[in-house]
Amino acid sequence: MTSHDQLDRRDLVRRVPGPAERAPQRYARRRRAVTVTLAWATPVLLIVVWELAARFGTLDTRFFPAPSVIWQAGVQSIQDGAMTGAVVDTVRKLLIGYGIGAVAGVALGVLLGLSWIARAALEHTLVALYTLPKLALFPVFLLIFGLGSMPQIVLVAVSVFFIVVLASTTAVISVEQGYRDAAAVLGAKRTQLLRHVIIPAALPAIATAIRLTAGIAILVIVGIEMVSGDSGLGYLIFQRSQVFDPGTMYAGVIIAGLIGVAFTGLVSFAMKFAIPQQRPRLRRS
Amino acid sequence: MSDIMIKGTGVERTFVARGHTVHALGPVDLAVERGEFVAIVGPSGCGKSTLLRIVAGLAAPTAGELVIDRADPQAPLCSMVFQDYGIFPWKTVLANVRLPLDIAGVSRGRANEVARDWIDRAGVAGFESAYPATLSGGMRQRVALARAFVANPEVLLMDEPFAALDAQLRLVLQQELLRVWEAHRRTVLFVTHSIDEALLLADRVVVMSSRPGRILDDITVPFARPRTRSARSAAEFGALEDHIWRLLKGEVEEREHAHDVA
Repeated sequence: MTSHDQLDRRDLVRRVPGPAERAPQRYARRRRAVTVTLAWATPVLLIVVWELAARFGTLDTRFFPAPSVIWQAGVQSIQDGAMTGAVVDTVRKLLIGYGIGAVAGVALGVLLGLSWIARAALEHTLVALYTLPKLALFPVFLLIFGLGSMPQIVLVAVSVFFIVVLASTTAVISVEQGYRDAAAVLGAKRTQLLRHVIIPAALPAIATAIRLTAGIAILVIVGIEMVSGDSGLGYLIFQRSQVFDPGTMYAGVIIAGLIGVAFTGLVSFAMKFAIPQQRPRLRRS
Repeated sequence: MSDIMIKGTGVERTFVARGHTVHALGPVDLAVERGEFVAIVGPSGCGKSTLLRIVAGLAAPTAGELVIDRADPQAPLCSMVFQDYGIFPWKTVLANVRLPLDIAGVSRGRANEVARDWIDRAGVAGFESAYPATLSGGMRQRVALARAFVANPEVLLMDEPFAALDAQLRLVLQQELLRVWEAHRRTVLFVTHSIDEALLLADRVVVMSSRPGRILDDITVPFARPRTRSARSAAEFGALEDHIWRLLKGEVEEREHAHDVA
């Protein structure tokens, strides 16, 4: 054979295993390490650049205080209870409003999906109300529920409710007829059909709406706290910017972001557990 | 001697879609004896699935009537194996097979016991806690078979249960069905496109015309049971296959031309 001669020829294209094929496990480990490192490197680098720019006067610290200053202001506001109180207040309103909106939305949505009569009566009205800007309704809520946290909770609930109700209706309607038939031939009653087929089949689509609205709920609650009332994270952020305390203001913004990440993460995780076929398996079997 | 279980008289079904009326099925007269395995073959869209759905109670006939003489009004009447959608992605293998018993209100302990027994017989033992997404197509249809048998229904309806499987897997599953059914006889209506499959499995083959589906021929399959793959090599098998194909060929071609015009 003349294979050696051929290997030396420059016009030959060689297909050989690369690092990913030769040592797949080491390659995967390395790749994971690079992924994690880069994911952390970007924010850390940004903070370092910000800190340096603030210290050397490149940034106007009246508007952009150094991260170390923000950190101190944050620690201070947690110690004197201002931040802690605001966070507790915002999270309370968020959980109540979101909970009510999501639960009511799924319940009515499933009902609408099941009953064409309910759909005929309510669907178009709900769509019309859905397109109404919820913020425009806030003065109405103020009139009905007075001052305090109630109108804010209602606003969150309403913002979540309309999205969840319409998504749940669609989810239930689009459950494959084949799945319904398979249970129907077995003699499943309405409630059994709901439990064994409709709910689990519609759940992935409903879960998507529940996840999306978790983020929306945070936007709404922090936003409305800025323009109304005298408590919560949004109020704290806005009020500190008014009294020229940018350190605490930024700390509030960052904590609002962290709450958002934690809350949406928690909801996503819970949804994963709610869908049996996507549930992470903790135990080998 | 004859014990008619399912008797259809002038069964018809029409569908109305966007103002057009489509005459899908019939009139069909059909009698099925208790414990008989009847295969229904016919071209696509001939209403054979519709006939099955009428027996199952998922659709009603628009004319005629179909009477089912059930031996025990308390026992489950039908179960059905579908080409797909039959088993639920959100339930484990065990929960899927157990479902008919859950619906019938059997206690969990007893239901698990019976379900495991059938999982075993269908050859999926060891996969009880797996979700269908992790199973091969063949395994999924085994689960569907186990679920169809578990409730001990009087009538077993099968709507092209093996159509989505590859050719070799099909042979295996046909053998499995024969084995299980010959040990646990019950009335079966089996819809298929495959003439070969119908002859291998059934006591009788009902050949249907293209839409609106009517019965062209009703053939008694003479091969002895228990039946194996070797039935295929009998000279009579080839002759019957040829006979049915001649019947269907005209129907299929006619439909093709109808498509050309449409």
